[in-house]
Order: sequence, then structure tokens, then C-alpha cells
Amino acid sequence: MRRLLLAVGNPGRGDDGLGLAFAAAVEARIAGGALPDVDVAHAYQLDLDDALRLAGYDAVLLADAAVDASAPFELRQVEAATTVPWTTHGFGPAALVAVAQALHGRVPSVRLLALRGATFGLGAELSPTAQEALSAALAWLDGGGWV
Amino acid sequence: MTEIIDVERGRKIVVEPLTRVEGHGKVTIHLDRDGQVAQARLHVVEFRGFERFVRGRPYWEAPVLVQRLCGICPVSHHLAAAKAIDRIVGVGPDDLTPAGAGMRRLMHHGQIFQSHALHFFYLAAPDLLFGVDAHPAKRNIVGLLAEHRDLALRGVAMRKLGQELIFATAGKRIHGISAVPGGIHKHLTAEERDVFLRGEGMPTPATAADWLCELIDLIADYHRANASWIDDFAAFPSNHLAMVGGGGALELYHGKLRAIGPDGRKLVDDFDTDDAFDHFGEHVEAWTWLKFPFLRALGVDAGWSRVGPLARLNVCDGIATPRAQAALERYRTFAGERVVQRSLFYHWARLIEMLHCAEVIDGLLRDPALLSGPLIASGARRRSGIGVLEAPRGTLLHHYVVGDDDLIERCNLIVSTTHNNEAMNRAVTAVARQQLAGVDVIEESMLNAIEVAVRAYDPCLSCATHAVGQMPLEVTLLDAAGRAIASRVRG
Repeated sequence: MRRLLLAVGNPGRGDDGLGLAFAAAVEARIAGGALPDVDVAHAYQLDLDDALRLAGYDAVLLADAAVDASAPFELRQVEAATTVPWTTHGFGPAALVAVAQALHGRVPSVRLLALRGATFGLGAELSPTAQEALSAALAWLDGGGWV
Repeated sequence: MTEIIDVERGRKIVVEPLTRVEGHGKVTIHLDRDGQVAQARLHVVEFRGFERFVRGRPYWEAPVLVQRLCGICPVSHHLAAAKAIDRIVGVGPDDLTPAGAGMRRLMHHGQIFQSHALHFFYLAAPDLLFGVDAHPAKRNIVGLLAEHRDLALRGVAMRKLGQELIFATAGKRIHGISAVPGGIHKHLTAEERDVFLRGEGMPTPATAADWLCELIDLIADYHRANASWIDDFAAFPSNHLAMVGGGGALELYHGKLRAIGPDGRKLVDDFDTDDAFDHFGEHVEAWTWLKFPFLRALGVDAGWSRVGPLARLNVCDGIATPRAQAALERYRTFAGERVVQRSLFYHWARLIEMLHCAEVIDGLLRDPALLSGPLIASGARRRSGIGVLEAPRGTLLHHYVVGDDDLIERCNLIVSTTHNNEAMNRAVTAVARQQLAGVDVIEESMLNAIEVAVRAYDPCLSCATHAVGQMPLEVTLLDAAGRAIASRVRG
């Protein structure tokens, strides 16, 4: 069993850095000997060739901030999109799965950890809403939620 | 508000402000009194305003701010601005430290490599392999993966190579921040270098070069098999503009600018990039936000040029890397003309440039100068700086004037797409003439053909930043009196 955490976001834009903050906490746990089957990758934003990263994994968790998620976070199964934009302006998780499917044939289970964000200002710190989402997601992880 | 624009012979076109939204291309086709196409106009209806946005900002912010012009080629704007700001801090192109110059070149060639990969594999290849009238559901990278798996896999993998080079040199794959006034703020680490030279998770530059040579064989075969379509599609005479290096060789980062006419003769003596804005004027038309640059020596009507891969291969005397030079010789022999004027040759030229970039990247990765040594040079402060380079889609010029308070007073940008403005209008006109011969109905095939013509030059127009086959377009046919007689909208 090999798992990939792919964290997406821009830490320079407030709560948009939630996915990367979650990844940093996971990396700290890995450094401490936990989660030995997990690899961590980061992306400023998803792009088509990120589909190459999914090869060889049994499960993938995409961690990203979301404005439409219920607080503190939601887990969503990601299904392949039926249409795929080529531009980074509109390339999302469903498109990623569609391209991975076309690339590799077999696609691991991909879930989206949608972390509720509230403010996305330039250079802003994580908001209380985001802090709450981060804490709750880590509690979920530490409680064995991602299996 | 509705804007009324007068055009020649008293005709009028009404442009609704609703069309001034990013994401829609608008084409009007003007017929003469005999019902033949007189002219087609590609209206670019987005307005960016960056030249105003950066006024009043500290000069060192410019390379970071202007990247937001584009999500596909932010590195080109980053580096063009950095080159201009180098001059503000008194650092010329030859004054950069070896590490600074090498890292910037590596970033730039990685950027052109990834952008060309996106342009060819994600956009052009589906058009070419499935046909321009194939269903949009098939005419995309996923369709390509299904039917031309090896080709598509190589395309995705090569894009990744370019993106990872940008990440290693600029700190981020999009909107990096590493070029600073007078140099760069990081070295390449030996670990980063070895990932590329071992090809971990992507092809090595040498493998990419092998793949590109095979691909160039394929596109030569494609041209041979589809010669009549390619020869007749959006072909027209023009001037060509590009940068050249020593000995007139293809040069993408720094050199002199050269402009040639349709017969291959130089229009002006090659000139330094510091003098570039003395040589260019910018014409404006009321019907588009996109300006029309021209060589002042020739005037508005005769001074426009094509830029980008086709122009660069027309302008240069050769290529300094051996495999790309061999590919250039074969390309020229096949084309049978020293100045290639057929728009669809852009794609073949793009692959030759990718091959050149792979060779340059391989050499830079083996250069120890990128691993250590001073990163930043300094000099005497100046008020004005010009930075020019060859972006993926053509010659890109940035000019900044900075006050004693270090704030930007004036900024002027001539971006690649604007150089090709007249050419894209002519390409669309050529397509319209071909498609409308004897009919006055706008078919879906015409929208597809317009899309393919524009994409030979640029995927970056607001109207082109959409999936293949889904470019939102509005095409209107106007009679000699300026009355709309047919219209078709997609998207």
C-alpha cells in the first residue's frame, strides 16, 4: 500500500495555503516515523502533468482549501471529468483523474480533502476558520481517518 | 453603453460592451460589393492595463508584478522585466555573473520548452492528427492519449521536464520569483541537477532530444502527406522579426534584433535591444484593444512583421546546436523557400526550437558555473532600462523609466502577440476567403479553421485560452453596406 498526499495552494494568499499547511504537518509526522507509506507532493496549482505523479499509488489524497466546503472540512471522492481543459486556469481534481486514467489506465482512489477557507488576502495569515479546519483535519488523520 | 465605430466606406459595426469579456474571440468578415471577402478582423476584446498598474511601484517589484500578465509564459515576462531592471541598476547583459547568466538561461529555455510542448501536444497535435473538423470530445489531449498513446505520453513527460526546470530555477512552476535586479537569488544544487541528468520521473534532456528528432520525422511525413492543405492554409507574404546571436544564429535570450522582408533581405541593419523602442511604433485601431507594432523605417502599412518560431527560423542564419541545425537544414530543404510564409509551418518550427532548447538545457545542466559563485552583479544606477528576449510566441519588449525615488514612472510593453496581430488578421482573412468561396453561410468548419489559424500563432489570446474545439467565437458576416447578413456563435 502506497499513498500520495498532493497538497495544492498558494501560501501567499491567506487560507489558500491550507493544503500546504496540512502537508507540512504530515511531513513532520513522517519525519517522526509515522505514516511510512505516505509520500508528499506540493503544487502551486494543479496542472495536466501532475497526472504523472499518480502512477504507482494505491490511494491519493488531494488537500486544498475550499470556499464551498462545510466547515471544518469535507472528504469528497473524485471521479473522472468528462471534459478536460488544457489550461491551468481551469484544471481541477476531476480533470486530473481523467488524464491520469488516460495516461495510466488504472487510477488509484482519489479523494479531495476540502479544507474550509474564509479569507484569501495577499500575505494574510491563516484565518480562525482555516486554523479550525487544519486542526480538525489533522485530528482526523491522527485518528486513522485516511486509510 | 454601445460604441459605434466608423470604418471605411461609411460602414458601421456596433460592438456591444458585453463582448468585452475575457474568453470570447470576435471576428467580423467584411464583404466587398461583389460579395467577396475584403477583410476579416480578429477583435481582441480584453484589456489588461499592466503598463498603468506598475506605475508608482518600486522598480524591483516589476519582475514579479508583470508575471501576472500570463499564466502560460510568466517566466518570459519575469525575465524580460528583470533584463530591463538590470539596466536600471547599471548591469548590462555581459555584466551578469556566470551563475546569474546561466541560471536565467536555464530558466528561459525551460520555459520555452514547456510552453512549446503545451502548444504542440495539447493544442496542435489533436488538430493535425484528428483533423480540424473532428469532434471536440476527441480533439484534445485525452483523445490523443487514447489513439496516439506514445506521442501523447512523450508530450506530457516533456512538458513536465520544462515545468520542473522552471521549478528548480524560479522556485515555482508558475509565477516564480528568482530573477532579481542584477542577477538571480539561487544556484542550481547538485541534487537538482542530478534529477534532470538521471531523468527521474521525466525524460533527460538528451532523451527528449531523441524523441524530438523522431517527432520531426513524423511531422515531415505529415507535411508531405498533407502538402496541399498546408500550402494553401493561411499562407501570405510578410516581414519577419526575431533576435539573433553571434553569426546570425538563432538566439532566444539575448542578442540583436533582425527584421527581414518577404524576400529574405534585411529591412534595417541589425540593432541593439537597447535601441529597440526607437525602431518600433505602435498603431491602434478602434476595433481592437490589441496594438499593431511596426518598424518606423517602413511605416504602419509596410512595417509589420511576424514573430515566433516561424519568424525565428526565417530570420536566423543557423542554429548553434548540431541536432537542431540538422533539423533546420532539412526543414528549409523541404519548404523550398528561404522565407517560409505558410502559417502551419509554425508547428514544425516549434519542434525544431524544442530540440534546440533540449540541447541547450543539457549543456547548461553540465555547466559547473550554475552551482556556485556570485549570483548578483551591481553597477551605477540609471533612469531607464529596456529588456528584450524571445518569448515562446515571439519578440517581447519591456521598457521602464524609474524616478529618483525608485518608483516606476513609465512602462511600455510590446508583447509577442501584438507583433503577430496583423498576421493573425491576415490568417483569418485567408481562411475566410477559402471557406466562404461562393457561399454566405458560416459553417462550423469555418469556426474550426479560424481556431486552427489563430492557434498556429498563439494559444494566449483570451479567445484561445479554452479547450480545443471549444474556443468561444462569434463570427459575423457583413455585406458591402456593413449590414450583418450571417452570424454564428460558439461558446
